[in-house]
Amino acid sequence: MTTDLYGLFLEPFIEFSFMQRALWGCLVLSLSATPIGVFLTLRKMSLTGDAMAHAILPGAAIGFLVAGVSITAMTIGGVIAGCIVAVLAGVVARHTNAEEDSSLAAFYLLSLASGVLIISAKGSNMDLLHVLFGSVLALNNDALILLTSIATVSLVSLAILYRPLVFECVDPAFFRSVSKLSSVAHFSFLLLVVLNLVAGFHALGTLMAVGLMILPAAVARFWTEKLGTMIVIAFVTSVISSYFGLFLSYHASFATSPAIVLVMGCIYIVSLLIGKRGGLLTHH
Amino acid sequence: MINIIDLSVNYKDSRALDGVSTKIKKGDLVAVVGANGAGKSTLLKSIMGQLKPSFGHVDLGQLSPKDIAYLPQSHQIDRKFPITVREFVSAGAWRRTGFWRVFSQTEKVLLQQALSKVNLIGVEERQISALSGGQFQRMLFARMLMQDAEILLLDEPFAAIDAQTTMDLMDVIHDCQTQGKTIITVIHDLALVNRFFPKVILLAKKLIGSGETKLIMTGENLSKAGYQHIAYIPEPTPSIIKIETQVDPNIQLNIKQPLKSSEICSNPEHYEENVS
Repeated sequence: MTTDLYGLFLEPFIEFSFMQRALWGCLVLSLSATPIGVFLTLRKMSLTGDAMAHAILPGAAIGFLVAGVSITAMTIGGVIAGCIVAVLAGVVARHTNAEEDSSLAAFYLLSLASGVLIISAKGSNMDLLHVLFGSVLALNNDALILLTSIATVSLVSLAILYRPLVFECVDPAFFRSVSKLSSVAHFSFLLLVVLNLVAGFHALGTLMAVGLMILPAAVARFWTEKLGTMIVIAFVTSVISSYFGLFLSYHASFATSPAIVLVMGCIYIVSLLIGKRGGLLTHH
Repeated sequence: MINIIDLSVNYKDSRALDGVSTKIKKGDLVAVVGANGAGKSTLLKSIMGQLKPSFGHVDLGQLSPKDIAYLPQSHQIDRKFPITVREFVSAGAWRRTGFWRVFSQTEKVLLQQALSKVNLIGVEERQISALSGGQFQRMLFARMLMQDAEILLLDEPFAAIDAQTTMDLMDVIHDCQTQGKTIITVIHDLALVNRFFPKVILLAKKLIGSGETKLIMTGENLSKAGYQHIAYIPEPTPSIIKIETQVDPNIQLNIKQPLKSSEICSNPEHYEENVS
């Protein structure tokens, strides 16, 4: 019986180094992406996150075009493209009559289409699948170092920006009256979002990267009203989902990143139904 | 002393303030009055140095924007954000502590004093989303007290709160005044202005008048500021009121159609919502 359980739950992660690498990648990604996701949802910017995730694609695709499947080239391309779209979306929203969400949708369709076009013109279908759904089971050392570095930078920046970010969300008018850091906080935050999306892109692919940010944060809001607790719950949700996603992927041969996101999705639906704060069935 | 000299401010293409000049002495308690879009909030933001004037300037004398505490309109605040009353009020100390330092004993004492002045002792650990409208406004006052600044700018502090809370918070304002602080408050309720504010600045993009409340709040001036309906109708008697839609062309109030009788009320705030 014990050996059965061992074989089922632990063996894949002990026997195979690609499973260990995948788990490590997901863990560090959860550590940095979930707090960012919590702030993203609290600022009602989930859609912005989604659009930026897609915006990374053409940049990464150009990196791919220049240097083939190179982590460095695709990362640099992705970060640049993500930043450009983040700034453009802000500018368009400020200076035209278009609503921010429609301009975001326009940008994200454009980026997705051009990214897929570039990759399919030069690469194989396999490359395209990698870019869209990631390659969490094939993370090499470079990728793991990148994910861990991004997680470190994100956590340190978040620790420094925590109070400014909180007040930029709650009471921006007051924040501007006591500090000139308002736009610094805003743009550093967007940069962190882009960095984490690029990290997510390497592991989960452009279509699923944002899942690790938004879904755990959405789950956490159903269980607590405290910001700190919210971040912890989001992290735990993400770790559990990553583990069971990999588990399902290993035993049932499911595609990995959709499996991880779907486990999160199940937790989300359960929270939506019976969550302590505003769950459908617990709501009085 | 705050010296506002020929101040004009533009928002994109439209002019929000036009050639406003006035002086506010140290220790003054001033109400800023005007219809929606009259430039009241713009005036406050210009005093804080957040908006660049297109012409003229604001001279704070020996003080700087760092000596200003600002109480924003409550609708600008995300009340659903997960943060406790204590954390929210603590932000008032940021000018002294920065964003990263731990609170000293002195700051903790100041925090308690601020909370007790507005009667919020006992709710420190509550989430701001759980507060009533009145409690929420008290909390904003506590944070302003925590800032311990020389100049206080309040943007509609009494919007949508009950009479008792208004009176309590007026007491807080009076306390601050006796400590020699300069207080400038955007306010909609003309009755409150007449009762509690010795000085007034009446705006309609241009300055209609500033000085002693009794001298400035005349029917003629109020009518210039776009308040004619209210100034002459203390109690609504709907069946006989015929609302004029002609307004001073200098005042860009958007009156598209006459108000229905049910929309007429003596609260100028509601009045403005109807016409804008």
